[in-house]
Amino acid sequence: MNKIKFALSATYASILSIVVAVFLTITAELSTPFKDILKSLSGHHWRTKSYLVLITFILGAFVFLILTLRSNPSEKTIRLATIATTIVALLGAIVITGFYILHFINI
Amino acid sequence: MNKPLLIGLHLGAAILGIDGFLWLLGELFAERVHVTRARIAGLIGLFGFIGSWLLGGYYYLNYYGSLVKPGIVAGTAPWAHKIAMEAKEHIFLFLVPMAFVAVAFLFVDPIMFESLRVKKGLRFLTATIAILGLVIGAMGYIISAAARWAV
Repeated sequence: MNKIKFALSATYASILSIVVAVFLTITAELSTPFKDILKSLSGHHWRTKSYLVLITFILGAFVFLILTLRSNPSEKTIRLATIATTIVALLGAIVITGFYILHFINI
Repeated sequence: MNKPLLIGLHLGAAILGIDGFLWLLGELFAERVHVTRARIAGLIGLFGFIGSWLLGGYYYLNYYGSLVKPGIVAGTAPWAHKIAMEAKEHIFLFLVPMAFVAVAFLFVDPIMFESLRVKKGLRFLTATIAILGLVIGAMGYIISAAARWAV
């Protein structure tokens, strides 16, 4: 049962890390000071984003695991979590691509 | 470091990642999943994407910005960098967490895995990982083409 709880925690953490990736990407494009902060942390904004996404995923998985260990997730919760990850990832990809298209044509 | 070799290894690792998840997708359509084979496919996919992230990241941070990007941005297809590359480098950040999730479910007790009926959700997730990998690969082709011919 703990392995399924670990997988469920990783699922929640992946949703969180995708949201963080989208937030960092768009905010850094819209705010030069924010992008400069990201650059100053590791030497390159993309390296910092990569580290932050990984840290969010790993820490998120631990925190969600602690929370999930106290509960008894249903089959429906587990199934919905995997589908939610898929939907959030697809939406994230559409938002990022759409943002850069609009950014390029100055809208 | 040999730059064409580095790009080749980055692409090769990405193809391994995509193929691993396409293989896993096939395994997940079986009535009873062959757990060992599914785990091997998932792990190949996960480590393929990790390798591609590290190799591509090294190339991007050390060579792309100084050697490739200026030519594309000044050429006839600046959108190849400003849309395709920007989207590619950021969407890629989703893949490893997603791949890890898919693999984590494969290590759940097989009897519980079948009884939980998470296969449908896992099929969607696995297909999305492979599709995003392929879309990112297509963006990589656009960027390479722009670097070669758009000047």
